[in-house]
Amino acid sequence: MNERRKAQLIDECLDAVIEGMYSESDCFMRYPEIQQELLDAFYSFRQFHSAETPQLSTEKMRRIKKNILFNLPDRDMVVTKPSGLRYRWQNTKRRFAMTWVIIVTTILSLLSGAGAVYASNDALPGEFLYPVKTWVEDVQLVLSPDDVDVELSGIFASRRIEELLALIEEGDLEDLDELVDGYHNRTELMTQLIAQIKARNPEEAIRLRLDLETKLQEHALIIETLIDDEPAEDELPLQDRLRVMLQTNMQTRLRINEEEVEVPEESDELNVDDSAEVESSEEEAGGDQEKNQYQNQNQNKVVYSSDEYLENGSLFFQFKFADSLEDDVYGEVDGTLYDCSVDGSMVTCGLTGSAGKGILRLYNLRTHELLYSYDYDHDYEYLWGGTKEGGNENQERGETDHGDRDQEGGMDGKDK
Amino acid sequence: MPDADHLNYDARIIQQAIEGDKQAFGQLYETYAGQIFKYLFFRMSTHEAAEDMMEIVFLKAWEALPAFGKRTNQTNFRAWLYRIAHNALIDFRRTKKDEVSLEVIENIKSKSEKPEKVAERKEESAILLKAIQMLDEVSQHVLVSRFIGEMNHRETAQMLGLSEGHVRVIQYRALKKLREFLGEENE
Repeated sequence: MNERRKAQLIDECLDAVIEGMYSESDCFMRYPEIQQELLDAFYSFRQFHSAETPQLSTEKMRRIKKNILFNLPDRDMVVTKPSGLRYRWQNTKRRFAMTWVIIVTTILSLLSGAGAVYASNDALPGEFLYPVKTWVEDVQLVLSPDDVDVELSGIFASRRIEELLALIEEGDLEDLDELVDGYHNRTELMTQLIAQIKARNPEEAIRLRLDLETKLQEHALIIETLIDDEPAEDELPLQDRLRVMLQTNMQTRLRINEEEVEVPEESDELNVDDSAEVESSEEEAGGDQEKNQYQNQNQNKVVYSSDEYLENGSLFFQFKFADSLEDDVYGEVDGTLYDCSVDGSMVTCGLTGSAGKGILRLYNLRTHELLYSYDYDHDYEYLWGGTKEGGNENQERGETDHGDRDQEGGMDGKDK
Repeated sequence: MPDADHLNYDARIIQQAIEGDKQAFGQLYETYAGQIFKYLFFRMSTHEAAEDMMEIVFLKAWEALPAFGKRTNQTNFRAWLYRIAHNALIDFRRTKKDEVSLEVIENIKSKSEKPEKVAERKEESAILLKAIQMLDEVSQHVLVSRFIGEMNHRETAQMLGLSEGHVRVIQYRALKKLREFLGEENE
């Protein structure tokens, strides 16, 4: 019996015992094959059940409530209608950076005329003055020290979200690519700056990172809200771009939270090429793996990469790490999370319903650290055609190995 | 399970809080503070730490409230609040690197001067708290949400952004580990 099935049976038993439908003995009789697991589960569960439950005294409840209500900031904006999402972002106008805005806009106004600069504040991608808007941002970044740049990069990324909402509201989806690139640039800058600051002043980096994390979480919430599970056909391009933005957001959050971030060299370039962290792992896997896979240098290496196979109509990917994994793992493709099971050094992820090709990333479930990323391309026809119900599963897995794909050249040379 | 009237009442209060009504938020605090405190206590193991964290959790909830309900599957305020508590704990531990010492639990044991049975129960609770702290964050969250917060798998899975099946597996492994940590006695 596999682990998932055992987990399900134990859970059913626990629920039935909690609800008084079964006794523990009923469960043992019903599922004798997992008697030991049931014993362990019931024992642990009983400890919770009999644990002394803490209570807050009325006085403490009141004191905490008073503190909380006293510290609640006022809400400037009321969000009561769907289109209000856009206005919510107006609250994220920065305080600190405002000084710089005044300085820079004054200089620019003197040089190029005040009208253009001020008018560009509300410009959206595709509009004549939008390049002025992003140029002003760039100038602010060049003029500010690194710690201010971190805050600015967060503010500018938030602007891209404001613009996204505005474009959607106006039904103008033609210039989304520019916006998606802009969001990517600003978040990449965050990663780069945090890494640089971390090398100099780790405590300051933590403070800045926490602020960014809050902003990025808000972005993710809004993007997730906009992603429709079942979009209409004409909405597909928008949905694709939203998923890219969500992926960028998740990637940035993971990177800024990594304990050890590779410190990039100082550069005036605002756009960061992330190809540095993409490496070929062909040699590590005896030439059997695809190029452009990310392998976390601090982690257990993947020695045997994805073997995709079908089992009972579901699609699975398997990875073998050099050493046993202590934590659970989950997978992510285009912002969608997938279950993975860990058995020693072997990780199996169910990807049923995922896109035909994409990048599967494996993360540590406890620390959310990126462990491995993998460019995949299902050969659906082969997989479905090659499956034999009730046949030798291992043999089927072996048959879908990379040899076939290498011949087709299906996965080589993709950019991350 | 809350009835429809209760849900409607909650929805009204939540909407008022979203619109900036601090008194409405105070009512939400009154409703959920006890549950959140229990959750935090089992995750942090001391009254003081749980009380301090309560303030942080509710302040974060106030900030994040305008986004509540925007996701299609996000309608359960209690589950949403637990998620905020879980995230706040993770942030706290990242920065503080677990300042909460397990010795505090030992002190709870030794300071217990109640009648014998109460003392025994306190001791068992202290051992359980200590064992819970040895689990990873997600396992702690799943067990405490399920058995202290009395949440079902659907709610727990929604909170973590995982499938129910995955949460069951996490629970299964966590109960097994907890059994090991709690020792071999009594069975």
